[in-house]
Amino acid sequence: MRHSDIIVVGAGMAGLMAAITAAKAGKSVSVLSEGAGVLSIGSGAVDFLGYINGKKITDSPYNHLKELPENHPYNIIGETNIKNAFNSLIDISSNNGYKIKISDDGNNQTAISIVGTTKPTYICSESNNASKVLNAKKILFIGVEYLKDAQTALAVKQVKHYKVFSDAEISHAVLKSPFGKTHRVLNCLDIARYTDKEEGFNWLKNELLKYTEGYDAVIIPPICGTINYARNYEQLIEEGITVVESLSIPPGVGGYRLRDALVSEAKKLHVKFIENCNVQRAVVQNNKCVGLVALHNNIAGAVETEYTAEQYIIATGGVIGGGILSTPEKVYESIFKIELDAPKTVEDRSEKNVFGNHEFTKFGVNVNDKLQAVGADGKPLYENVFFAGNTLGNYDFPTEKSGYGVACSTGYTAALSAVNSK
Amino acid sequence: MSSEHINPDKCIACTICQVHCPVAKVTPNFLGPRLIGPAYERFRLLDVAEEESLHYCANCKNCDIACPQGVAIATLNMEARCDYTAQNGGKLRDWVLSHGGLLADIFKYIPTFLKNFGMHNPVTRLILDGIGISKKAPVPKFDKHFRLVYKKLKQPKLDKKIVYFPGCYVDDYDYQIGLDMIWIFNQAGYEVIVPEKFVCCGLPLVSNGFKKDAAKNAKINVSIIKEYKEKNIPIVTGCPSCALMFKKDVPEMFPEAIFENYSGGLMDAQEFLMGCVERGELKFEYNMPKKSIIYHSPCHLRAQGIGLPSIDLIEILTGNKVQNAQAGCCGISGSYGFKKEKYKIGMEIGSELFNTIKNSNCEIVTTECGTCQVQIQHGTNQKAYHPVSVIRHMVENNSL
Repeated sequence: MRHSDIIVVGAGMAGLMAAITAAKAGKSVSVLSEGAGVLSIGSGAVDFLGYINGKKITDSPYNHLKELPENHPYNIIGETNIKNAFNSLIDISSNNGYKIKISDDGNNQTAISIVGTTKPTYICSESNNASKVLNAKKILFIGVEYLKDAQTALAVKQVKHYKVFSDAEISHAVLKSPFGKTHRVLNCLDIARYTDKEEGFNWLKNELLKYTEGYDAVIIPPICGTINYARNYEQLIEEGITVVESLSIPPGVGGYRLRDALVSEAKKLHVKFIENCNVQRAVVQNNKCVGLVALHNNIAGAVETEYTAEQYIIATGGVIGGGILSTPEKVYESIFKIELDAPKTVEDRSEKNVFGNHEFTKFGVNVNDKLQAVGADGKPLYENVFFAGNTLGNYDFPTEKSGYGVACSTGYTAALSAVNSK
Repeated sequence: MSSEHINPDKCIACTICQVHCPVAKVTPNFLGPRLIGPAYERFRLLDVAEEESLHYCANCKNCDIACPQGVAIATLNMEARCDYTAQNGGKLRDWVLSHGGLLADIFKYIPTFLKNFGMHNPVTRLILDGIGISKKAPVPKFDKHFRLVYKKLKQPKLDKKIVYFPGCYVDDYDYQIGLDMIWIFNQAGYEVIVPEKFVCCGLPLVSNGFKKDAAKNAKINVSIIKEYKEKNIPIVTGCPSCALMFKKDVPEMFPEAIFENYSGGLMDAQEFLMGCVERGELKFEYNMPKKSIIYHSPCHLRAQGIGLPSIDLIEILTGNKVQNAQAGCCGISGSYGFKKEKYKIGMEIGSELFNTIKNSNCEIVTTECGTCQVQIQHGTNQKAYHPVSVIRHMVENNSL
């Protein structure tokens, strides 16, 4: 039926977390999505809070929540919801084949990127956790022939800039491609899919063993498989290779594994996915949403279908994802057309420095602690609509490194609010 | 050549389509949707020669489904393939595979057994293999021509009317699906009209590069759709690929054929039937057998953005739970998997689905798409049925 207890719009981290959380509580859930979600190409590392005002956080991010503004999503939903959400994510992912964890001391962990930079992250797979090799004395960066995303010489040069690696002996090696020369340049996912097969895993193991003896850290691209990642990683460790998978540019493989795990869980819970579904607008009566109208097949002028539910969770992303629209006249949320505070001129919405603090990343809906959108008077605009992820305002995910953390915890919290509302 | 230019710059080069492309998954010799589609389009606009791996695109639309920016990637690829074929001529094999509707129409009065002897004897299969249709591929057998059977069929006189577009698969290879479709619409109180003038929807023509022929078909079909829309009679098809062709490719590739209020042309029959259920027009009050059922969602249905209405339809009408295989593309993509050099790719793409079906140990396999049914039977040795056929069998308590 086109009626469900709860409709979630969006199938990224926030949408999937919301859908799973609501379905676990026994609700019938439909996910309306446009596009497969950025999760599938990301690194799979879940950042909680990496930086505040440019200062790196190396201890527990919980110690720093007070330094964030009062209306930051983390401070709106509170510590308990964040903790429960992260624990739930870890359980879901680990139970579906992708084991991820928080470090034992609860502090941020260090991950290494494919170009040799480091970054703080909070939840990641054991293979992505580079904290354990920060004191390594002999480090080897591994690339694969024709895998152009892995430039090992560049990574070696970059990593030497870090004080923690200044005493280490760092070198690099390139594995022979199992495919020979191919028409398409290989990416990490191509190789990860190959190592899912037994033949592929044997190739990886044997090639690695040619170079890795004597190294106490071997940094490889994320090529330890997709569905068979866990088995592959454990076997490499058993072989005595201290493997660390770097975080790659898209396709990042880790995100593919994480999405696969979340979708598997949603499948078990009979969550319905309505793909390629472009939600155009909401039907609202007396401060309640009574339906969402979607365009068939994403073609203007095509037939529309109305989907109805008791509660609605909106996880459509920010300016980049299309959940927030920025036009010369105004900035607004795309389904309910909620007008948002924003600088009047387009020039003032971003900074010249690409890596600077852009205003547009903070655009989003103002919400209360149930994640209902609120008007200037602080009262909820729609009693059965809850917002999650980057539709929310007042946080700057790229500079804070808080994107998936906010998405996961607010998706979870929005679902709880929806489940518990009358 | 393309009448409406698709802007390649809407693509933000995020690689989501590469990740979800079933062909790129199994062969590194295909550049993949992002590079073949929007990225290479910029070179095409400068008249640079066509990229050599374009032929790998199966037009399965998984790139369109995955794209967060609404880029019509598959259509870009098909426009390019059509331009290439117009300039360089098409292969005989591709002409044969894409003009099945026309050929079957010419041969429709020839007895079925003779047609099948003509097409399926080892000598013909070797000849076909010689022109590039794999001798291993499960090329379907001809059946009685559906619209000839329809002409002789007596339906109850009912007030409400509905127009049914059968599609080539039902017309030529499995007329029973068409009869089951008429049966269920009769049950819902609709008399079914199957216009004689409908021709192939044109999707196989587009996928094989024959745009002019597809345009002719679109013009004929759209004029018939217009005639019935003006009479306020709904038009449906049970075939996801035909539906997608009318909803997406026809307006995108042949906007000159479209009239005002075309709005997608027709509806998915199963979605329409769900509407019948919701309006109280369709229900069965019989004791139905309990069966384990697994369902495969055709890519061209997923691309329509209407969810998977057949699952709801079977569950509500028969009281049986349906397992959604959710195991990706079956690998056939219309005529793609029949091609000699694509057969292996198709089978490798479909392997996840085949394994999921086999491991489920379900008694009934169901999917809307005719060629998906053929490919599933080829990959699992288990026959797959159209959802409406499954419902009819349950209601009539026949075993499948």
